[in-house]
Amino acid sequence: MRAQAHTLEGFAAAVILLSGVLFALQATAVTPLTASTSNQHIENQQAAVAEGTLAAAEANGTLRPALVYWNTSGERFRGSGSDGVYTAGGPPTAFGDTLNETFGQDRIAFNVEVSYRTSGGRGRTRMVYMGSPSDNAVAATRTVVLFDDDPVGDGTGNVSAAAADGAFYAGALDAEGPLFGVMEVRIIVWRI
Amino acid sequence: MADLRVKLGSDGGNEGSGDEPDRGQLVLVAGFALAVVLVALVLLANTAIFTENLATRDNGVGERDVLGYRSSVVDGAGGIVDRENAVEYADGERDLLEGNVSDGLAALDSQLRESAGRNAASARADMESAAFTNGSLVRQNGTAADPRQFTSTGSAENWTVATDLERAGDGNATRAFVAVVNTSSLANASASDPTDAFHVVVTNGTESWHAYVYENGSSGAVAVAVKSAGEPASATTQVCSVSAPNATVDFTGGSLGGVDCPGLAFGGDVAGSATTDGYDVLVRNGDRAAGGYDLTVRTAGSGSVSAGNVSATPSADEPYSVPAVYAIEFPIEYRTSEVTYAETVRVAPGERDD
Repeated sequence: MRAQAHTLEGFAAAVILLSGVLFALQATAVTPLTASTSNQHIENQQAAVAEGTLAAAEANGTLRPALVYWNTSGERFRGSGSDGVYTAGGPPTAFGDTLNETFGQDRIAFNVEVSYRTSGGRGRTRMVYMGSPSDNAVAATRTVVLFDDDPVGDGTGNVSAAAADGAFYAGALDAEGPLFGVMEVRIIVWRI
Repeated sequence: MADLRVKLGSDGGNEGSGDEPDRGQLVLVAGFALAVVLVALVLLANTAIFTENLATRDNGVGERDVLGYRSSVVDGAGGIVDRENAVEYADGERDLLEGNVSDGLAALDSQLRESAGRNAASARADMESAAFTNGSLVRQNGTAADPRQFTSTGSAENWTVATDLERAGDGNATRAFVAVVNTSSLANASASDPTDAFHVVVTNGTESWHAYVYENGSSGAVAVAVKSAGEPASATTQVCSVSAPNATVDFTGGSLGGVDCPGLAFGGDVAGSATTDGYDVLVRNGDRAAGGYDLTVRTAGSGSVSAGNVSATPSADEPYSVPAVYAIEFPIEYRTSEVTYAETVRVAPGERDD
């Protein structure tokens, strides 16, 4: 009887000790360095990648065509869903391909939105919307200058003509010069 | 451990009495104590790691925003300059041209300033102190579908486009030289025998650089061959080619059909950064190529467009020149709480990269 009691006691003590160790290990699992959706390093990395993607797209000249890839009759981005935004990935342009290659395969979600000056303040148009960003989302911004004679993606003319018809998302502000407007492209990136 | 021994004074039937539950409690308490100590250690380590992480969290000083602003200014100003030039102001309207460029730049500055302001930065491009460099836009209004031969106003096939173009500082004197050529109009030639082909010559009187555009006799593709300055004609080498019914040759940007063509650097050493001599731009065998072209040359200093060969007023069929802004320089400044960036930017879109 006594030996059995000692054995049981030993087991009980071991269980308690191991539970303590297990609990401690579980607690260690949440450090800022742990791989998770909220890891600071991942945030920094994603911010740098987002920034780099935008800078490269601007330098290659692929950002501007994506901004004017517009269907003037449907008044939405060409090939976008019924609500006028791309939801499954980037737009079917070179910039969209870059976004998909950079983020899509790594299970990183991204939103792209364009903001611009309007006569009364600022307007914002969503280009890609993959959902509401998480708390750990990071954003990168780049400004792109559009000119009146930039051709609209559906081949119907240029942006100033489309804007004059009210068929483009932004309106022309500087009626005199060749400048159409300064568009601010913002991509928001987070891990899913 | 003493309790594990059988107590000498107790009899064998005494098991299970008094001390057994006590020992169980002791083990339990020890287990809890150990667990608490481990958790405390973990928390300490975690805090240390987190503190270090916070202390070393560094996203730079915001230099990416500065570079983004700079590239937007340069890109936007370049677009405005080129578009105002393309409006084709008359000969005496240079003031009007420069005024309109300034207005466009002011509108651009206003929008970029607002955009920077929303990122807690102050950005300013000082258009009041903008310095203009005079130039001329030379163009021939053909297209690939409606081509015109690259001959002079007098239909000469060998002619001079511009003379004594002078470089200044780190800038060149020819920019945005882009031609669209119709493949069927080109001479059939090869790099070993290019003399019949259309070519552009850049010369300073002693040395000359040639760029030949022809239809490659064996492949049928549009090809560009280059003869470097100071080399004999036998040193001509084909640098790139593209198979298409028509092709865009960017002599200053160095591309053919939209694809980079690394061997094509307008003027070679004759127009390179090492030289300060003026150079002439000539066309040879202009009847062996057709399409349209644009180039902007720097006419500040002694540079000038060849008046006899290029019409001074816009014309449908002949090459002509109109006043243009070759380059513009203005100071920009970008300030945040962490970084101050000030520079005088020079905008001359489509210049050859040195």
